[in-house]
Amino acid sequence: MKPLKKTVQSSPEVTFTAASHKHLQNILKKVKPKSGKLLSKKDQPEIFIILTADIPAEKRTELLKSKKGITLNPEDNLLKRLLELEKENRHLKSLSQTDELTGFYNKRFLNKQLKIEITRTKRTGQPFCLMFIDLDNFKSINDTFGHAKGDEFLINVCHLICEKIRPTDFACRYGGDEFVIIMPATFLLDGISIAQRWHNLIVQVAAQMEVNVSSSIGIDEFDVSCTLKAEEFLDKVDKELYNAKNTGKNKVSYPGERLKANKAEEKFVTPAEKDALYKGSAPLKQKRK
Amino acid sequence: MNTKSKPFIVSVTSGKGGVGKTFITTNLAATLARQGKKVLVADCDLGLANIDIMLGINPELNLKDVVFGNMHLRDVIIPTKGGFDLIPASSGVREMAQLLFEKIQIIKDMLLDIEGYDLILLDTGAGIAEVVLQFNLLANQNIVVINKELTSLTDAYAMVKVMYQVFGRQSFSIIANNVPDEKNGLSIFKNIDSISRRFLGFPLNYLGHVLQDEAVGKSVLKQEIAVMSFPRSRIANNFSQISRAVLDLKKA
Repeated sequence: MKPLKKTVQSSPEVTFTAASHKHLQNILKKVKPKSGKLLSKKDQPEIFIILTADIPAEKRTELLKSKKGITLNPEDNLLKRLLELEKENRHLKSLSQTDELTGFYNKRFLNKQLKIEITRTKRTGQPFCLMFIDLDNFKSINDTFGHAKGDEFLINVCHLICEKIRPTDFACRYGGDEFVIIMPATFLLDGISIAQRWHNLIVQVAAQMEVNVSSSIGIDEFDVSCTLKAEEFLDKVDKELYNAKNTGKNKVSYPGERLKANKAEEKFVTPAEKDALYKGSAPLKQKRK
Repeated sequence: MNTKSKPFIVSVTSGKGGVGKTFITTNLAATLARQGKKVLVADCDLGLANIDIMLGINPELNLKDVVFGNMHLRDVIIPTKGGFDLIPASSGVREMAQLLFEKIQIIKDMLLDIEGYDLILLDTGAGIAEVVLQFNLLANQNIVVINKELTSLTDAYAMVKVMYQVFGRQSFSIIANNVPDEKNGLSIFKNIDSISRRFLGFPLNYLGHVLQDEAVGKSVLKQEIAVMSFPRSRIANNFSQISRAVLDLKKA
């Protein structure tokens, strides 16, 4: 490391944010510095350093002209600060889309992802499901045992969901005790069975913590023929949740009409219809004999 | 010739495979063409297209070049010996067999844009996959091909039912293919028609029948169009009747 440090001191430094590791390797190949160093992808995925002491002047200007390069004074600790900024940036980005208490995605992320899923459905034709989970009597924990216990309950529920959720689904905290789960590439029939599973798991967590909390869940499918906008669809599923709340809580509510159609699609031709078709053909068969 | 108004789009579908969709499509198209109609046939069996094989041709471009190249549907249209024009598709291209919904919409939009034809016949694939349903949905009229096999009747009924349940379609035309006699054709039509009336609540429309005939097997083997090779055969007569019924649908 020591000789390298010497070089640093005696030469200007160029930091590159290359489009890719490969891209930078190509640049290095072109300019062929005798003492160049490429930070590994793992150390700094986006920032690379080239020591330019031995780079010919004309090549150096070419490098500096590149939009992706910036010159650094080695006396300055700008590089260090840049790296710190980069780290900070990533941290802020994750903060901007996650909920602090539970680690779930937040409402901002939900709104963004929902729009992406709608576009995806229109492209691929595959439906997705969205569910609202609202905890029943959650306030009673806060009121009886204090907020710490309430938070603990939320965290336990979220941990369980994180553990069991399918890797392609998105769990978001929508409000205090309200969660939204986006399930890409999922039919309503599938979505309902998953909702039922979350419903049962929440009952288990409540039993373990000896609190009287259950959940109301509203769920609906967004299919390719649906023309609703993101907010409108969210409202629609929210109404389904209120339907669960208003009809006794502690249940999963879904649009029955749609499910009926889905079920019919599953069994296109019912036994009665098949029977009728068969009977209708029977005299024909006899005739042929 | 009626080229100024939009072409009348008819899909030929069945549910079950092997009942003669492609045979009906090419022969109906040739019959209509002989009557002076300008007819375009689109091979909409995107994964396993075979109208080109039925006609013994090997088109340079096909629907694949529209979906994955920068071609327009118009660029791949070719004239055929049947007197109708053809949009060929590809066979054995996996990507074509599972097109994104978005790509299907692009093909549909291009088909709707086509002018200069009296009729467009869409030869769909078997089954009730989304792509088949979408082409049926695009068509002004769906012809469902059946034969005397019970499985073909059940699958045809399933097709009618799903088009009704998913898209609210209530108008379907039936062709009974490969039947021993006229009476038999009418009888299997009556069977499926009565079940549609009873369970779905609407009647079906009978376009006619195509008789069992050795001319069919012969012409398929020779990659010829039966109604052209055997213009005086019974089936040529059957297709004349069916084509009149199709033109009546167009007027209605």
